[in-house]
Amino acid sequence: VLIVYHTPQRWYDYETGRAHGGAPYHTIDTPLAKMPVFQRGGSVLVRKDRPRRSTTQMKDDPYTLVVALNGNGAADGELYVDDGKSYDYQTKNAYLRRNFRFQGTELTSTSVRASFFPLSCSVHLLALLSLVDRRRHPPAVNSHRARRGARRQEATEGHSQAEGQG
Amino acid sequence: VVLGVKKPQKVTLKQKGKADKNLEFEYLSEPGNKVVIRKPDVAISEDWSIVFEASSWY
Repeated sequence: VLIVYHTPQRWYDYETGRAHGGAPYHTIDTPLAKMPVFQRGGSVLVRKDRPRRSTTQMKDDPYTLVVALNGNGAADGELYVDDGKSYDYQTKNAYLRRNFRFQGTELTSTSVRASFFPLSCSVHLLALLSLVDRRRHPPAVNSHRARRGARRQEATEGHSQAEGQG
Repeated sequence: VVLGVKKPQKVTLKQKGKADKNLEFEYLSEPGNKVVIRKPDVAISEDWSIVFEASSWY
């Protein structure tokens, strides 16, 4: 058993997608086979989930997108990929840089910079994580200051995360 | 403030120059609230958007 402190954002269990919000301390059962790893609410992680012996072998593996919503129902993340060995990313713009953004009810994939990188990998799994949290503090009755504080907190939550190809 | 997504009724893939396509999805409410789409069949390098339609989203 492990007691985890979470900053006041939402955190999702990396493996199960279970959400932890509200209270800062959570008790988590961690048998030997369980790694306590969490994904922050408001982030989109781009993963390659097939176990391999080397990153070279993972080159053509499909992607998994995990969209973890924050308290505003939004999430944001980026992906960068290049060939992993040459300088073509500098000399020939041979890389891929993409943004994944969830806003409202829509997940959008757009290119961040024009570049040319022939990559045929597909997305084989997309998971959208969220929680209906009834334990959350009641809305602040008290004035602008509380609301402004809440907004500031959400703004930091909206920060993007990136995960490239190892 | 009520947070979180409910089960969507429809999930649609939109891509420029292609017809909209309904995607199959799975909804898991335990643990967490999770919508899972297997094989959305899009390339990581393409532009696309996926719209989740629900009567009450939050």
